[in-house]
Amino acid sequence: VADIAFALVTVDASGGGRSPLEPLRIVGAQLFGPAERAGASASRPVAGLLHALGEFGQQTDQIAALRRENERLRAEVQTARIDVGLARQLKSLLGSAGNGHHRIVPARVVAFGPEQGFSRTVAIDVGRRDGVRRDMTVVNGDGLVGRVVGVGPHTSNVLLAVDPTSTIGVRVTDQAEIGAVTGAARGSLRLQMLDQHAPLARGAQLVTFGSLGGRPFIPGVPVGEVLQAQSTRGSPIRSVTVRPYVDYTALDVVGVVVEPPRTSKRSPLPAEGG
Amino acid sequence: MPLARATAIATVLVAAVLAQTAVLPWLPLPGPAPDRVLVAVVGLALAGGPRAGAGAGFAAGLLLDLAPPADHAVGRWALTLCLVGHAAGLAGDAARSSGVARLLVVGLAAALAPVAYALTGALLGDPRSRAAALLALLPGQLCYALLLTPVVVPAMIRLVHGRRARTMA
Repeated sequence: VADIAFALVTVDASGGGRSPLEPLRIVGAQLFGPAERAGASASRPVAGLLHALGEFGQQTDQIAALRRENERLRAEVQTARIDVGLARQLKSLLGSAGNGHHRIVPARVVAFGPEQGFSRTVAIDVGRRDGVRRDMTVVNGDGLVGRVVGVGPHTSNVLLAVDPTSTIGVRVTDQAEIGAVTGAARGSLRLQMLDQHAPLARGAQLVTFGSLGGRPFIPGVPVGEVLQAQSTRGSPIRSVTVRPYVDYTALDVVGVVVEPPRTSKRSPLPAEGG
Repeated sequence: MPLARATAIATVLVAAVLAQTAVLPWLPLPGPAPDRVLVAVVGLALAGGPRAGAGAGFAAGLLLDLAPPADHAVGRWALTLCLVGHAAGLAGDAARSSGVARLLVVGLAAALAPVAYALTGALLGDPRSRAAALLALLPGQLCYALLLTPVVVPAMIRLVHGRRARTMA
């Protein structure tokens, strides 16, 4: 057999361009070609499958890695959203400081007074070392939050405007009437006008009247708007419900007014025509 | 009581007060924040009897009186929770081992504690202690207290009696 093989090699090699064995090769190609193609087309998927099986463990790792990354990105988006909200609140606080020309120390609410105690107070994360003192006005971007009632070294307690013990002097913006709002049930305020017969429309806006020296309340901070004014028949006292601008159950960024708006010394008006 | 156990109980009470003021109010839960402190005090009272209950109630109440946003007269919660702890401790022997009795004791305590607190307020002339506020508070207060009971009370009993109480609880 070895001899035959050797002979074939010799013949094929010595034949040059036109080997006498060429037809044989063609026959072989015709027989095996299709079989090989069929075999290949049948086995390629199997090989692929085996290959895939080999990669399976690797892919699981990859999926896990992708999932982890997804989780991380999602968390990032979530925190970014919180940061954006925080930035928005700070910006509106900054805006309110710019309006009134007063200085504000920004703070965040860190604790709420338990509802079991019936008081509406919050603790904020600024205190004596930040320049916060008793009876300072606390605001946020929406309006009046309350006033400082207790100061610790690092935290302060704020009595919210909706607390039943809180009373705030207010002015109706478009008619200069004055009154006082007190905390009432379910997060609303009750308004008591100085002039019981002053006309009050639904939606009338109330701002703080202001205290001497800006403490406890600086003037002009939005408080809320009149929701309904109903007069009880036969009673001279009418009860006016006010919807506060600030959402007292979702307080986060607030500002303590550490320096009230400056007032300049006033000189008398010159006599007309003089 | 060994020092380690007393330390553990003190830690639990401080954590409960912190949760009450700084953690639970942030959660998007309907109604009032769950009264985690009250349930912990009742759990300790059920496990340890009237003396331990009064002591734990006083300590936890004092913490509530002093924790930052509080601006009421210091001692109101201490007094209220001291009484509640004492009463729950008296019921302790009968109620400790039965789940239903525990729920009953916690429910009673959850309903009576705000009433007692409001009464001290009324005595001191605090305008905030109004019947309307009390009525608005009670349903949520009761629901949350009962929901907390199966988790908090067994944990408190285990804390007081150590591992051996696991079979009893």
